Amino acid sequence: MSRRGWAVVGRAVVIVVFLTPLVFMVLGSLRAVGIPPAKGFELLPKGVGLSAYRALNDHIPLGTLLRNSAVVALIAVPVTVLVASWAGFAMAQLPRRSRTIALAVTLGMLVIPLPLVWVPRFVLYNRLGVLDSLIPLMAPALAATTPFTVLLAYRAFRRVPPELFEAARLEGAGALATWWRVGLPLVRSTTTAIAAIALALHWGNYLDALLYVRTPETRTLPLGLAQLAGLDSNDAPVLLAGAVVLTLPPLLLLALVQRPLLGAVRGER
Amino acid sequence: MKRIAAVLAAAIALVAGPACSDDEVEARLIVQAAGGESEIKAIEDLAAAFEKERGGVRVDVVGVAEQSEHMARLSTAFAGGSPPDVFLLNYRRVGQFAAKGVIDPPREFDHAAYYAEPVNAFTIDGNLVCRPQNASSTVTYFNPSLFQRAGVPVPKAGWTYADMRSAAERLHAAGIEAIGFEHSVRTVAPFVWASDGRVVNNTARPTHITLDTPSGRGALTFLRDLLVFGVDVGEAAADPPEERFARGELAMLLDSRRAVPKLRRSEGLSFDVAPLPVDKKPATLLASDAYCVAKAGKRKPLAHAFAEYAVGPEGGGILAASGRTVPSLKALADSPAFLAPDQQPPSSRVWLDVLPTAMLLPNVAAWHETEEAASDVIEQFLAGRIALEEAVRRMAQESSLLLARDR
Repeated sequence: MSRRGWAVVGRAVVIVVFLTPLVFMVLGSLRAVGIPPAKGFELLPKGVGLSAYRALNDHIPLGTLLRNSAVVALIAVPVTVLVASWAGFAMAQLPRRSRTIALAVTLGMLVIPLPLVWVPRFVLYNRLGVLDSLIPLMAPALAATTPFTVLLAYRAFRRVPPELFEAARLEGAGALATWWRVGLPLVRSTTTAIAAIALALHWGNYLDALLYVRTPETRTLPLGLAQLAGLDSNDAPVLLAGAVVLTLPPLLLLALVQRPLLGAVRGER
Repeated sequence: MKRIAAVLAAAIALVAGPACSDDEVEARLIVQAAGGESEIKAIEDLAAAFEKERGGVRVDVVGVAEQSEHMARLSTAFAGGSPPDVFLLNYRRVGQFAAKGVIDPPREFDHAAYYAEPVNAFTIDGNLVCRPQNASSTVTYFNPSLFQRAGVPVPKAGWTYADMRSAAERLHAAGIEAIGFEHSVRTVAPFVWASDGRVVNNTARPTHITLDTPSGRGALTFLRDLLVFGVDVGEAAADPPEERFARGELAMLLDSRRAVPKLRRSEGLSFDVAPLPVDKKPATLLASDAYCVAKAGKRKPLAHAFAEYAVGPEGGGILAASGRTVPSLKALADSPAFLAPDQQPPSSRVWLDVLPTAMLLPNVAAWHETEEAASDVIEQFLAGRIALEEAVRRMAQESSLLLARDR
């Protein structure tokens, strides 16, 4: 087989591996509710229909969960992009020695195990009196959600020719103006990638919701989905329907931002 | 830029306020529990009934599907200084919280009105720390139709290990999957006790697991041999015995009362229960959970009032009606609310009959982790991946290291 042929085969294998769970999920969600689960794979689910989707709201307050998840994502994603972009831009402008230290600190934060910050965060949110709100779910955006986004932004700004920033400075532009008018337009792919990462992290954030959310009004979709995990196996299609609802928005967004995302992966700005 | 900042600030202010402000609510309780949907629903019904009776109170039930997540959430909340006011806990997990002194024990409790077994399970150093709601234990669920099809007499009180093995063999010969159970210390324990053995050297202050004895080896071997006629260990993960029993494909299931709500909902399934088989003596494992009040809670009197209501005749009745619990309140257990002659299983009284033979696993702080480690080894043994001698040696060794933390 030619090299191109092998490349096609390779891509097909990857697509099948990643698509199979999604296909299972969607087909399973179309199975009728209340009947024993299928043994093995069903190409045509028994009693195919949307009964599982109709039953979703009987088990979880879908409207409330979707609303809360949407609010968290709508606020946390732009804040993450802003903070990551500023941090990356600032790090890229530092003199070499300071830049190395900042990079080392950022990398160091990346390896801190998450369970170590559970309790300090809980104490902080408790002292601020925000445990009964959505703020704990959005607060990580103030630190760019994950150091990885800062590193992505840093890498992108480092690829911008420094002469462009120098020229802006010579024309009297301050740091913020340089970032907004010169840097940001040149790193669009990376900015889009950061937004996609932030959306995936905040939309599917189960752990923070489990630890910091205490009232029914502030629950988000991942927490609601976890409740469905306690359903009988005969109601498994309802759980899968919930999983489809949870998965759909990031999937649709991925389809929209696929090109700039791949550009960021390939090292384009 | 300024416009974006203003919009963000407004949005944050919108969501920063309290999730709900209700001027009519004088106090708010948070109750946390782990369980399936039906169990959490029953607790929510209980909470609604309490709100109606008290007036001016709001009870938020935080339901968590998995025990491990329940424990992670509780541990974080306690460490952070803001635990739920009331939380439901199994006696095997209460030790770690009691050891840290974070539970506020009940001031008043009518011991005579409750079964001694669940009360003892939550008594640490002579003090009752939580109010027990449940006096369940492990029994044998069986499908009478499958037994009839195979021409095998159904299990009954006083049946022996030989009876169980014979029934399993004959069911298997008739093409029926005979038996399934959880591969854990919880399943093995009653069979060790029934042959007059011990699971640990000292239940109150255990230092190691003692399954490296004739009773321990005998129990492990008996269960492994039974599985030849039952649910393969490797297949059980993907299709648990409880699911197979609910579909009417499994003849016998060893489990506590927790299986009843799901089985009642399984259309077309008829099932009943019988005690576990007897060796030198009858024995079973107590499965009990209780309502505990957090010492750091801000509304302790109200929390205690809720816990008292939950295990009392009205609250306990709501939970009993769901099928999930064997009430620890004697009067309620001996009433139609629990015995429910028109509901399956017809022989609910079995749980009351076997209660005097129910024994406890330890409730010390390190027991939860010790039990999980030992259960992993038991699963490997039952799957045939390790030999009996290696299994009992590893359980003794690993438990000794883990339980040393409590000394």
